[in-house]
Amino acid sequence: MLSSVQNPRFLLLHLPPKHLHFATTKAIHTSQTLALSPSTSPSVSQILTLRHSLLSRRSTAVELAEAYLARLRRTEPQLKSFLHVSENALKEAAEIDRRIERNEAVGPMAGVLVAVKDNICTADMPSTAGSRALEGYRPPFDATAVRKLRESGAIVIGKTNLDEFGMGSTTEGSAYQVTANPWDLSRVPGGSSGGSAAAVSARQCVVSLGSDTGGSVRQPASFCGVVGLKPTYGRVSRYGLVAYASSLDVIGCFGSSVTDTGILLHAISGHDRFDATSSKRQVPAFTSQFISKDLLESKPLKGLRVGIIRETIDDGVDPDVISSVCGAACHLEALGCIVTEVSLPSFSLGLPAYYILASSESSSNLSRYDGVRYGNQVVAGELNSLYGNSRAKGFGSEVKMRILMGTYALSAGYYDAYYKRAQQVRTLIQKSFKEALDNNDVLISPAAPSVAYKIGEKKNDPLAMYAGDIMTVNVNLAGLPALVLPCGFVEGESTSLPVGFQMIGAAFDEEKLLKVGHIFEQTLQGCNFVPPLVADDFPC
Amino acid sequence: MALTLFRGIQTRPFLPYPYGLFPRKHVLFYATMKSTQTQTATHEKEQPLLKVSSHTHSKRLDNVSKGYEAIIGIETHVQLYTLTKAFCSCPYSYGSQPNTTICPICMGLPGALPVLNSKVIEFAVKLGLALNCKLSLNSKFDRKQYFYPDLPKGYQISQFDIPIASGGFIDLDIPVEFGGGHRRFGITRVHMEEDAGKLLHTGNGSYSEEITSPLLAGVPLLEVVSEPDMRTGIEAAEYAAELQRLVRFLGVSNGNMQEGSLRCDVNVSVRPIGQLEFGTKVEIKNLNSFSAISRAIDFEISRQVLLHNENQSIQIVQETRLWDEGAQKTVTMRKKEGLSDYRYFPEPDLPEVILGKEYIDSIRDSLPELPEMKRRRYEKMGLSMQDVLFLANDINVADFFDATIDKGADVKLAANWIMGDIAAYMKNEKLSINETKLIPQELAELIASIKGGTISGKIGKEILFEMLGKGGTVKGLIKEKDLIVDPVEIEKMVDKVIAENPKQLEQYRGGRTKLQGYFAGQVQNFDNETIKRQGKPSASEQDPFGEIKCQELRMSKLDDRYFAPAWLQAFPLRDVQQHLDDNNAATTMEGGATPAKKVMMVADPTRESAAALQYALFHAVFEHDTLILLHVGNPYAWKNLFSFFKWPATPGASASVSYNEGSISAMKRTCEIAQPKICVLVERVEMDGKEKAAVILHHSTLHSADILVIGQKRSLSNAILGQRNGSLRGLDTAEYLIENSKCTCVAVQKKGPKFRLSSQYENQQKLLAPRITKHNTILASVT
Repeated sequence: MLSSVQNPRFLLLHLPPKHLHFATTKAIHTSQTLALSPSTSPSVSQILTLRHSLLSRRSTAVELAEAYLARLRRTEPQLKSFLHVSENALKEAAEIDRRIERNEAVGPMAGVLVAVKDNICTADMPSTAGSRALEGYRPPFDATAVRKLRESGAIVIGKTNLDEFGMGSTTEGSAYQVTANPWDLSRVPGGSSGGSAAAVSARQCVVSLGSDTGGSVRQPASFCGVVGLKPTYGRVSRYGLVAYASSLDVIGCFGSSVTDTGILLHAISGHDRFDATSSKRQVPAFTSQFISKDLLESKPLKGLRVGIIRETIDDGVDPDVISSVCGAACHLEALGCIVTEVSLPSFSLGLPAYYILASSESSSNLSRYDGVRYGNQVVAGELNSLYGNSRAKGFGSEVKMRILMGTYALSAGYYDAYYKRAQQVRTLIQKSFKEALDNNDVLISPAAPSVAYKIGEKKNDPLAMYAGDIMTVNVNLAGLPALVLPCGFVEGESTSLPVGFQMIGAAFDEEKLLKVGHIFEQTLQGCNFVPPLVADDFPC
Repeated sequence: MALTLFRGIQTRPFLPYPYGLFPRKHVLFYATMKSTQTQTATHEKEQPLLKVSSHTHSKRLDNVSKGYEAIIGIETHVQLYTLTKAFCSCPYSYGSQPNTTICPICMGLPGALPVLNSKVIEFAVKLGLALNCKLSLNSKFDRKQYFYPDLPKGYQISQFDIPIASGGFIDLDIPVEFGGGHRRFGITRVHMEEDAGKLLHTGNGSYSEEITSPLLAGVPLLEVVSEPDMRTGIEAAEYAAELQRLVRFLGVSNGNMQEGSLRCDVNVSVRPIGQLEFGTKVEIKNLNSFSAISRAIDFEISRQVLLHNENQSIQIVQETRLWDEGAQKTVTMRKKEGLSDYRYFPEPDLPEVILGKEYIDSIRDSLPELPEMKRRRYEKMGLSMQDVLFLANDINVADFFDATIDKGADVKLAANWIMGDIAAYMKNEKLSINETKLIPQELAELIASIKGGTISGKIGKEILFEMLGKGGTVKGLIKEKDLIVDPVEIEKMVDKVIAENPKQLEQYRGGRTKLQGYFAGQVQNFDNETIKRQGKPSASEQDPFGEIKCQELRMSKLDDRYFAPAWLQAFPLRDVQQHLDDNNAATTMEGGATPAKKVMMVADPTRESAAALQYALFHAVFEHDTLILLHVGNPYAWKNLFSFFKWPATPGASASVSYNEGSISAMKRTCEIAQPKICVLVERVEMDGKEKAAVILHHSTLHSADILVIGQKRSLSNAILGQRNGSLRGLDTAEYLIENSKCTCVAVQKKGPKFRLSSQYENQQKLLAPRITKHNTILASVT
């Protein structure tokens, strides 16, 4: 099948639109942009809509929250995207209503229900990182991102499921439950932020926070048909994010539209004195330059240089995924972009380098779960047994495997062969990205080599699962921002499954990514990325 | 221990300082350390001056260490004096309740991240510069990983392959009593890290019940690693002491060993002299004082050498040993089976540490004067090494001294006042010099007033104590107490005394010049008020006999550095004064003569000798007695060589002679002041290749002395370094003399204010008797 895409450039130029899974019949009604009910077109910002109805007093925050909570209660038994649902959501919503009533100023995210991945600390809810090692653990502090969200008026609705400590690509690695994909309950939502992606996709919340170490925001965004943003390393404080691989971890955003994602990112970005690696750069108002569809010129992206990464549309990638991405490229070209092919020769080295670095750092970051201060402690008569047994009982097999790999890679005599070389590869990758981004405004690639797969399909084949990260890990190694946008569908067995494509930008240039993404999203004809599970709530 | 041959400390061969090149081999060393207390100031823990006591192992150590040399390196953890911890904003202070000053970061909670306290870098750069290190402009933090309950995160943030500073050195001066000399020890590296937590055991032994206190967790440390340049316990202890001074001068740490703010882990190995490879090294921990460092190393050297001698060197394994202060030995703590793998890797949570040239320069410019610079400066001022070491030891004392000098005070006089009365006061009151009410300006004023003749030394002392305790100014106090007396009044008194003692006057005129002291005493006792009113020396210039003048001069000379050098500071001048007054009283009341005896005292410029002198003056001699100060010179003694650098050579005389000359003369003067009614003779003899003990014995017989007094010293360190020699094997000079002298021989050691005596007698208490008896008699005669 891959032979059919030997010449993607040609394909881009000549592939007729019908080969893409763009629905051509339905156009989005612009009058609905500011519709006051949540029952609106998917690519319309839920946050802006909600804000408008709150401030115009057409509905209250409690009513809006109740609508989401009702949907959450209805879908949760099938999806299992939440590990904990807040009991205070309605109380907090009522407080916002009171403030609006008193004509007090409310934050930009007032009344917005945000789901938070369970590896991000919340003071009033358990934060288990999906691990038995932290079962019942309630941190005494909010992560900086969560604190900022609360300050801007958002309501944390609950904690979402994930692969234990973020190690996995399916959310099957959770110690507590397996989350299903809202598009097809027999499939995985992706991972590790599968719970956050599924929750946004099923409209259980407005937006959600995830974390992205090797693609953990972008791959589930693609699988669940939502917008996922991995910001530049340092854009968002990691304080309060349970560390997996500190030099790669970033907190990312999920939204059902680019606007929501941009608003969420703006709310959580900025320097934090509690994170020495957080950047002091100014945070632009990411959504201020967004132009409504009505006002768009015929070629709104004229002159924008887009590079499609050749290595990502090659062997091993699902041809349907390739054609979707090429379709997206085609669409960008139609918007005025200059699309060219770019080669990143070091691309394939990213995967092994990533697994060495991430495992090494995780072996160290996870040392603190020794059962002494928090989490489950196994009673033992002797110190080493206390450590050994507590850790044996606390960690799942994937985590253990990565700790072992990381410990090995850092051991005396192996450090140079593994860790050090991986760092060298990382430098190479950073350089090649830099070069490619000097010649292009954005780079595009698939977000994952395939669409969502069946639950259990890759559970016993870790290498196949690791290979699924090929599209995303390089971006983490380079520390760059990337936006995943749903761009089409691939027919599954029973239903069509969403596909996303990845746009990679220069460091700290999230603004450009979001701007391009917004135009792309607004002009994408007829795609409805509301899963059938909740489609009744959102008639188009 | 007989003649202990001071084999000397091996120094680095290419030391750029001449001190290091002394032929210290074949040098005799007599008295011991611990004989006198350091006359130092303030709290004892702040004084890194060493105290090394005698040790039961000494003889064994002495024998076994022959033919081996020890290689010693030290790792020192300096707890930084920052307000907050290294990577979070928790305050910390010693003694806080466990688990009170903690936060998610130092608890290592999930999600918490370290953020470097910028003070830590500043302090590291300061110490790096002070240790003459090369600074890394780009350094980084690494994680050192191991599991232990004191480590909340499971790793320690440290620096591994790129320390912030490396390749430096530290200069120091070994105190005279330990052999003196300048040393330079290499510094391998200085790096930043965080402290681990502290384990508090609850007693039931279960780990789950154990409390880990992250109180200390995250406290910033600098680890200073030395080159293996040290060879003896004393050198190692002095290295640690110098490091303590340095961190205190820099203000980067309080340097208290008791509180664990300065922790030394010592690595010791021994090898046969001449062997190039190092022996197996052993690490010693739990060293809470400088003397513990010295003693632990000496013990460890002997342990290892013994194993070598018994062909059991295979039993020396790489291990960590603990110093057991109670048992005075090292015991195995844990054996190292291979190198532990700490799996270091760069700390991803912290950015690189990048130092700008400007930043470094600004810190370099802000560095205070460091101990070494201070010592060299004081040395250039003409102070003796002992003075220099005392003054430069404590930054507060040094600052006080400098401020006094700035106010124009005479350098030597200022040093003497500070090291004498002020230090004694500080010690008694347990105050630091800043906590006394005295200010440098007033000390300068006091010195000037005495020098200018406005007041006498004795009155100066009174004013000093007044100012130390209550404050005030010299001028104000003089005025308040009306201390300057009319010279005419003194003349009147002199006239009266002379008129009232025609008999003594006649005897004096007949040649009994010793009576001059008697006259002085009479004047002083004229009435109680008058004692205080020691007028200007010039007041008595018209005294027809000159005795009064002599007395006045003696009194004022008490404060002169030249007459009371540093080693005599061990001998509190106040006591002398007190004794003088007592004695005068006794003279007045009793008036009669006691049978004169001859006391011979072995006089050297050492503390031990000063103690012996003190004993002799207070307990052995009485009026009309003869005190012979016997000085046995050895032209080859290291001290003489040493003094060549210390004392500016006087033209036409050998430097060494002038030094000893000065100190023996000073002793003589002290005797005359303390006991004006005795006859003091000085006898100088040469060793001529004989044993010192034999020479002393010979001269005591020659003079038919009734009592022989000698300072005694016992030191583990000397025992180890020294070598036995000839017939006196196993005994030291004092022991030899006690065994062999025909007269009463008293060996004096001083422990604090008390004398420790040994003699032929079983009951040493009666050696203190003469004065006590005398005193009782006086009391009896009064009632």
